[in-house]
Amino acid sequence: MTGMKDMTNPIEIAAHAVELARGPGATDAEAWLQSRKTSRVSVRVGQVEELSDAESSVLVLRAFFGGQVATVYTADLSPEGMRQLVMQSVDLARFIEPDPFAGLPDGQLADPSLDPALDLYDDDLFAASPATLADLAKRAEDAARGYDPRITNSEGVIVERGLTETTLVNSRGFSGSYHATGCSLSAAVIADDADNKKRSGRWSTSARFLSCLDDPEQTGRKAAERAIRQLGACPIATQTAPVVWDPAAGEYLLDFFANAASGRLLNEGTTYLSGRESQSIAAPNVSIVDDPLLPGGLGSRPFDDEGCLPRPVRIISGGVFNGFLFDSYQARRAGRASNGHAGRGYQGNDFALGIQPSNLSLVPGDRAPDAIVSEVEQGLYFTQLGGVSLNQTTGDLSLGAVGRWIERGQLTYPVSEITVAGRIPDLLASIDAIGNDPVRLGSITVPTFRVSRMTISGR
Amino acid sequence: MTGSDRTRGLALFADRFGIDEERCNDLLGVALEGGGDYADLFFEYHRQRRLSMEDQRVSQASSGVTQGVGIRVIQGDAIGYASTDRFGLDSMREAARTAAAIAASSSASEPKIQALKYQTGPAYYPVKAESLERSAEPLLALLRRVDEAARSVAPSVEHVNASLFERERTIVVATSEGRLVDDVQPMVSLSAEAVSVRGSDRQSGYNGKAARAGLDFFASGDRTPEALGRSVAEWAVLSHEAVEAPAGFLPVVLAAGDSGILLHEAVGHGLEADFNRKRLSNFSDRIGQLVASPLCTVVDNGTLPGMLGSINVDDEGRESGNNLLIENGILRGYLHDWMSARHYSLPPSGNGRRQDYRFPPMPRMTTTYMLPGESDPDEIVRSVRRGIFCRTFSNGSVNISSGDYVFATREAFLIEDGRITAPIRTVNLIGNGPDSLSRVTMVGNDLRQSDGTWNCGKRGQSVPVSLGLPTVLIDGITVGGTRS
Repeated sequence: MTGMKDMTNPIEIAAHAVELARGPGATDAEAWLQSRKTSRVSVRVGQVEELSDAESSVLVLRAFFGGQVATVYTADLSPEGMRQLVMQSVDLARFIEPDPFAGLPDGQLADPSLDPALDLYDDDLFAASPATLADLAKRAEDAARGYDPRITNSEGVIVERGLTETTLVNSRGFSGSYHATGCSLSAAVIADDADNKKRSGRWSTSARFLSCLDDPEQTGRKAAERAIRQLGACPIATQTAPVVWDPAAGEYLLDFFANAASGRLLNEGTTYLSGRESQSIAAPNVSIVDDPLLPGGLGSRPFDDEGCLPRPVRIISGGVFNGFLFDSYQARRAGRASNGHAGRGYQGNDFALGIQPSNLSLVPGDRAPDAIVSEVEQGLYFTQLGGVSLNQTTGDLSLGAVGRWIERGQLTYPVSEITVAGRIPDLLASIDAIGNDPVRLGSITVPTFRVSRMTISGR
Repeated sequence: MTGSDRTRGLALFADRFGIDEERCNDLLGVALEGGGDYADLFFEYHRQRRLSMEDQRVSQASSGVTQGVGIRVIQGDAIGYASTDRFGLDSMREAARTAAAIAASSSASEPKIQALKYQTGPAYYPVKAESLERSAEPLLALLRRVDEAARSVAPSVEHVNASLFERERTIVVATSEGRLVDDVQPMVSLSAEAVSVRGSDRQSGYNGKAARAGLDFFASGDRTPEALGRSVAEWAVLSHEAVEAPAGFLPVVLAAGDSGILLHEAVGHGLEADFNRKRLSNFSDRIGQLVASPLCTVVDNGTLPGMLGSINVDDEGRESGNNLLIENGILRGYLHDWMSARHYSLPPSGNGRRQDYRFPPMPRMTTTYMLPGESDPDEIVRSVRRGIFCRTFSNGSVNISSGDYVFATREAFLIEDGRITAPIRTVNLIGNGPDSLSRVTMVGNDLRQSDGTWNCGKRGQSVPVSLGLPTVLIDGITVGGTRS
């Protein structure tokens, strides 16, 4: 497909929408335009199973009439489509109650002319043919199926790529646009177990550049290894014990925590972190950072979705909670300044502005991951998450878990159909070892770590 | 419903975008130019509006339109798919050619395109043409009523959020088998969250109600803004007394309604025929076998009037149905889309669904529930010495290969000596599908469908569903709490 070349300059389109909104009296306006092109190749048992391509664009207009604001969007970028869009914003906003905190960002805007060398765009990604992508998928699947004779089936290997062009113009003079790409390879294979059970193992790799994906064979073997390691898994007895979190499980803890640190939840009173700023909320070895300016990061962006300069935030530093992630609206409500974490939702969420972490990481420690396991007399090596119960307001966490049991410092038999539970505050305070082995999983980077005590529920 | 209502989808695409039978034929022709067994076109026009209240102010509003067409070509077990949000003939033809690439290497005989024939069908939900056109004013009143009701419960209720969402999805499906179908699928949803604060203890309650209906859905029963506001605030206040959830393998009583999430996760996904066609599910090759207690009969029914999971036709243009999955514990059938039905030489079951035009369809659930049994619900609770009673849930998931599933409680209590006692903190329940269903020892006579705001995710696609259950006793599920 020809992509976006037949679309005229997106900055002009966005600027035109802002201008149109002024007509019926908008005091301020912002237009965010995103065009997206994605394609996907799926291979299963050596055959191409699916080739798909999608192209879409959306124009999101935020129109302010004093303190009244409406967010409206359309896929129809024709003059008539844009005229209707503006009328829609007028219709909606006049019923809305004025919000004293509503408004465009008044803090430091990003300078879109600065190229922060974020390395977000791979020129070659869409030059690759579907056959090239299918070949990567086949190599991964062959490696996975050849890893062990007990691998009996494949769910398939999917290679996806996407290109977005994001444009933002507002009535206070901000105007910027950037291109970004992303791609991934995900492999999932099956090993047959007793009692009709099958064990699926998955692994994936993702990056901004095709050349930065992990080797497909390595990704396939890793998926196969994770299936084989579950063969014969069963529940263990209910008990409290240390839990060593493999990065593939630990990634989610960062995700939950970043959610709790959202300025929106602070203002809504729905996070357990309310009132905990500058307090010790984690063990002294714990630091969690969100860095929107990480070169090549899947969460990196030169400006956030309302034009603010994204700033790295050390959410936890040496166990102390430094503060929340903000966009300008939630910052204003809380009497703070935005740190550039505004993100647009997706279609189901009406492209509403919200708070979005960028590239999260748990700062690595100095322990070898083997040593973190070998110090455990009896405990769980938690390798795979199987479902989440999280109460943000109280911090209660209960997770479905798959892993291996540790006996006298050695990894022994596989366990499944168990949960690990605790409260996030207790859990962060009980992290007693952090590995020197950071693993980048999408936009989250996390090493192996150990929580000294959690409740494991089984039979 | 009159015929003219039923063709509203076709009329919309014809009037607004010039998409008529001739154009559909043209595109199907391009899609199958290089070969292929089958092709279909899926046109979608989707409008939604949302109003949200925070801190006693309805200050957030959004609305919008998304639209596009997805074109699919099937060749053997392979799918070529392309979508575009532009309805210009050139854009659509280009998408058809992209989808056709999957069949480029096939040497199949000349594909057949049958003449399109418009098919009318059932109507399981009212469609009011004006719903999204009218002013937003009545919506504000509903949100204010939620807020007032929640705050009236206790002075400790410090925060109330409420949100009202309306959507209308208009679709047209045209297939190379000559099927031409349209549908207009409405949806309304009202959700509320309340936070109660006592000293440093914060507790929240959340619930939502949704249906394929208009705003009158919220006029009565436990769906009124007052009932919803009160219920979330009462749970938030009650949660100050919540005790640690137990840890271990315990009897669990699932209250009627929301607990249908058990079926959705424990068996529903595993019975989607794409997983079984590829032998990826723990239910593969088990039709006719005992997979649950003989007390269990489970169906997936897309024809219940007004339910969120109901559809007149699926996203492949097939009428939805009432499909028997498990009968007295015996596995009877899977949920099918076009591809899996062909594989099993069965008629499609009306379960080919997709999130939107950007995605090809897959077998998906509609409303999944267990038929009622004979036990008195109170007697079921009385039969448990030590266990938990679960009333509402927030989410769940399943690994379809192993059958291990989890689901997370929202409102749950201890059962001590046959009585429901203290509320417990939110917790995950984990089990294995066939194992848990074999442990169903009592089924109540009180089947209830849940009108919650359920969204089902599969392979990155989300679709609205419903679920239901009578009160059920499972004599052992692992409860993932912290109190041993």
